[in-house]
Formats: sequence, C-alpha cells, structure tokens
Amino acid sequence: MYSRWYKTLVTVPPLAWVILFLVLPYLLLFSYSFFSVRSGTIVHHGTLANYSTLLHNPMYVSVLLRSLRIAAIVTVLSLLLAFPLAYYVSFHAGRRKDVLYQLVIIPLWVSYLVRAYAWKTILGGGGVLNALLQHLGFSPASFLLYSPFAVVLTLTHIYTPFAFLPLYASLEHIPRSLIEASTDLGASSWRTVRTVVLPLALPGAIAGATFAFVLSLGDFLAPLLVGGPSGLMISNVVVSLFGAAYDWPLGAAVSLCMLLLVLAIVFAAGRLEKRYGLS
Amino acid sequence: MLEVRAVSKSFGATPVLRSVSLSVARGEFLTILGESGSGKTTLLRIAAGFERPGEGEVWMDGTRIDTLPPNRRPLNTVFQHYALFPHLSVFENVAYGLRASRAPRADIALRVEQALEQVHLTGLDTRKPSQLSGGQQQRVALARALVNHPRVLLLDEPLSALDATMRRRMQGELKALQREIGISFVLVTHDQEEAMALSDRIALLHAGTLEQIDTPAALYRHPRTAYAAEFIGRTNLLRGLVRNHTATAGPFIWPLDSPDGEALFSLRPEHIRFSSAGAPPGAVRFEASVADRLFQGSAVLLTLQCPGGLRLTARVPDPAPPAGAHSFEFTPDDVVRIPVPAG
Repeated sequence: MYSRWYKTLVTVPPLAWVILFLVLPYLLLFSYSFFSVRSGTIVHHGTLANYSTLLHNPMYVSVLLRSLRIAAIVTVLSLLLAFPLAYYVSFHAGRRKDVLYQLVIIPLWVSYLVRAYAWKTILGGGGVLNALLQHLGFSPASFLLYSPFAVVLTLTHIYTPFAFLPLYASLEHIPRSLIEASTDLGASSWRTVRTVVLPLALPGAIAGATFAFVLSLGDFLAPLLVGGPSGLMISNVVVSLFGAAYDWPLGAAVSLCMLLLVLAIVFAAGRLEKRYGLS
Repeated sequence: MLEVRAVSKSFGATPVLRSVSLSVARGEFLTILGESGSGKTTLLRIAAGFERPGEGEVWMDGTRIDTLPPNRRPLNTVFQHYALFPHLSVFENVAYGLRASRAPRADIALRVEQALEQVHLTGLDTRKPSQLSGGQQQRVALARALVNHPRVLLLDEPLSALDATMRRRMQGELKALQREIGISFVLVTHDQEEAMALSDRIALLHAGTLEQIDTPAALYRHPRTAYAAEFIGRTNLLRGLVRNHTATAGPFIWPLDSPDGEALFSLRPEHIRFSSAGAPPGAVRFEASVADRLFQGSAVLLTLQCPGGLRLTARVPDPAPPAGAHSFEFTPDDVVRIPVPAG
C-alpha cells in the first residue's frame, strides 16, 4: 500500500496540468462561443447567434463537409496503403523486418512542414512533376497544386504511418499458428488473409483509421500550404476567425463543434475496437 | 501410406533431423516420441508442410508431397495450443476447411454436426473458443481437422496443455476415436506413458536421429540402444563383457549365449525381487542394503547399495521389508543386452 502522502504527490501534478491546460481552456472556449463581437470588441453577453450562423451560413457547412470528405478519402487511402505494407513487414519481411519498420517510422521524425513543403516542390508550377511533363512534351498541369487533390495527397503521405502503426501492432499479435492452421485446412494465402488476418487486424485498422481521420480532419497546415482556396479546410476557418477576422466567439463555436464531432468519432471507434477485439 | 524418406533438416548451422526415415501404415497409430529438442515437432511440421526438408522426401500413397504447399496435402493437423480461430464460432471453426474447399452448403452443416458428435461436443456451436474449457477446445481442434476426412491426422502434443485427469480421459477418447474412424494418426509427444498407452508403434527420436521404431512392448522389452532403454520406463544400465558364453557386469556373472565383446545390459527395476526359496533355477542372487525408498502407491522404488559400490533401482510390491541388508535376485533372461556403439 502506498501512503496518502505519496498518492497525493503523484496525483496532484498531472491533475493540475490537465485542469490548467485542458479543462480551463475548454471552459473558456465554451463560454466564448456564447459571446459576440460588436464594432471590434467582444461583448460578454450570452447569445446563441454563433451557433445559428454555423447552421445557416452555407460557407461553414460546405467547408465542414469538404473537410469530412477529405478526411474520409485520406483515411481510406492510408488504410489501403498501410495494410499491405504492415502485412508485408509483419508476415513476410523476414530479417528485413526491423529495418522496414524503422523506415516507416523515420519520416515521423522529419518536421511536418518539411514534408508538406516537399509536396509543394513536387506538385508546383515549376515543380518536379511539371518539369517532367514539360520535358516529355506535355503542357504543365495546373490541377496538381492548390487543390483538394494536393491536400489529400499530402495528408495521406503524412498520416499513413499513423494508420500503419496500430495495424502493424495488431498483425504482430496474430499467433502464427493460426495462419498455419488456416493453410493446413486447405485455405489459399488469399483466403487466409481474408478470413483470418483481416478480421483479427480489424481493431488495429479501426485505431489506425481513427488516427488518420481525426488528425486529417483537424489539419490546417497542409490545406494552407498546398490547398489553395478550393482546398481550405475547417481548421483554416478557425485560424482565420481567431486571427484576421477577430471573431473569437464564432471561432470558439466552430472549435467546439469540431471537438464534439471528434469526441463522438473516438468514442464510436473505441466501442467498435472493443467489439471486434479478441475477448 | 505416409512415408518419410531420409529427411534431414538444419536451422542455420544446427542440425535438427539427421536422415530420418519412417513410414506410417494405413489405420496405424504412430507416435513420434522424444525430448524437447529431439526434432520430433520439426518432423511433424515437415510432414504437414510448414517446413521444407533440407534433404529427403515425403511421400503419400505413391505421390511425393514435400513439394506441395500445406493447403494441397491430404492431411490435417491438431496444433499444440489448438490454434482455434478466436473470432469464429465453434461451428465456423469446424466448417473452415469445408468452406475453403467449397463444399456445398447443406453438406457443411451436416458434416460439421457429425464431426462435433464424433468428438462428443454438441450444443456449443455458437460459442467462441474463449468461452470453452481446455478440453472442449481440444475437441473443437480435433473436429476441425477430422471433418475434412484427412487420410492421416497429425497431432502435435495435443494433450500437453490439459491437466492430468483431463489428459488421461482424452487419451482414452483419442484412442477410441482413432479405432472408430480407422485413419492413421501420427502423434508427437514427449510423454512416454502417453506414447505407450496410445500407440501401435512408437518412433523414438533422439538428437535428430531415429533411435528405434517398434511396438510399445518391443521397445520396452528389447530396447536397441542405451537411450531407448533409459527413456522408455526406468532401467539399470550395467556396463560389462561377454566372453565364452558368460556375461559379467559388476559383481554379477551369468551364462549368456551371445557373441563375445563389450556389452551394455539393461535390467528393469521390476525384474529385481527379494530372494525366495522358490526361485527359478539360474537366478542371480546378491546381497544389498536398501539405501533409499520411494513410495509409489502399488509399489516401492528401492535404491540398492550392492557390493563393489554399484547402485541399482528395484521396484518391489508394497509393503517392502524395512531398511537394512537383504538378499535379492534377478533372472538372466530378463536382462537385455544392448550393443555398444563402435568407438
């Protein structure tokens, strides 16, 4: 048994941290979402006007829908890339396993900005891809940069490792004897993947999908750097509301909606993971 | 029907199997017996197709199968820890092989039920493996393999995860099941009692080589190597000589019609008894003191201190006389001569 003194010592600092840097800011955000702005100053007087704006101004709804769509596409693409990669590294890489695993991890050490800028260099008007196209005698393609396509590409590149890690972990936990049992019972490798590996990797896939979806839904740097006006996402709106527009109350309302959405997704994913996890 | 021909296998620089050959007859219960590291599991995995032999071949009914992947071999395996699919129900686990071979739907239901009845496990179709006891999981693993009507069933230490009572019960059921369906069983185990109780023949594996393959009785009564004599049951190994139809080992001398030379003799503890007036002619008598006793229920194991420093183990019925010096005897016919390997 630990002493009361020891228990207090280890619980108070993290609790204080959470209250100071998470609970208080959220409470502030929550109260700000009911204020309003009149002639450049924030009026501390309760109103639901911000939430009504969100519902009735089609701009916010359409940006939110676009963000959801981009996040969904990024999630699907990340999973499609991460699963074969994780499957290969976990089941067939043999001695190269550790090296390959590190190769997936290393990009995470490189600054996010560098990776996003890299795509700008590749996709841009004078970029690598267009230079190649011109060299081959084609006219440069302008849809590459400053488009939702560029955002999806960049986000997929950045968040695939996040989908990979939980998937890989769940594949590593599949007893290899199950694979042997499956082939012993006459199943082809494809059938084994479909009926044994995939169902058992489902919790990892759900966790990976949650990472990819939530992280890309809230991303604002990739749309800022490679998105252009047609590739703006909801976080860019929040940034501009808190910045140039100086409408903190509306920004707070948008943020809170996002927060609730993300919490709902994380909660639902947690439930799904439990349901499909090994009991 | 299943035939292993001169199979060798190394993992890296470590040889695991050295030119092992054996064949399994139709309807035979063959046990591959050995300690851990003897290569017995590797041999089974080569038959199943999870490992490729380094050298040698595996044949079945006139077809070479070591070149086929596991899913194309007409045999099925019961895995050591069952390897049941945790996300599938009992029914789906058993139906797995039938679905893989695209059996008709109506057939599947019927055959799964039959297989589950064969292993005495009915009414649990919808349970998940995690909701079953060890014995029940064992039965599912058996049914899942048998439902595919394999020509040979491979069993990798199937009973090692069960407690002693359950293990004995499953041994009986396994033997009965094998007799009932009449296919060949190849069982891998390190438990010599299990091997003795179940098998038609035992293949004793030691350090990657086949020591002896024989019926349990022959293996027990006529071990051909010192290892076989010591591994199967208990024995006293005596180093000695044969010259001019006379065997000498320690303080014992008896007539023996066997070629001259160095020899090892195996004398089972149960063949040593207290001397009695009605001893058969030719019995070898000796005086020894009881140094230690181990109660075993129906019998007592005695450690005998013989003249010349020799120690023997004797198994005598309980109750045994108190400690002290006694007169013992054995019959020379019970002593088995084991050839001394050259060098």
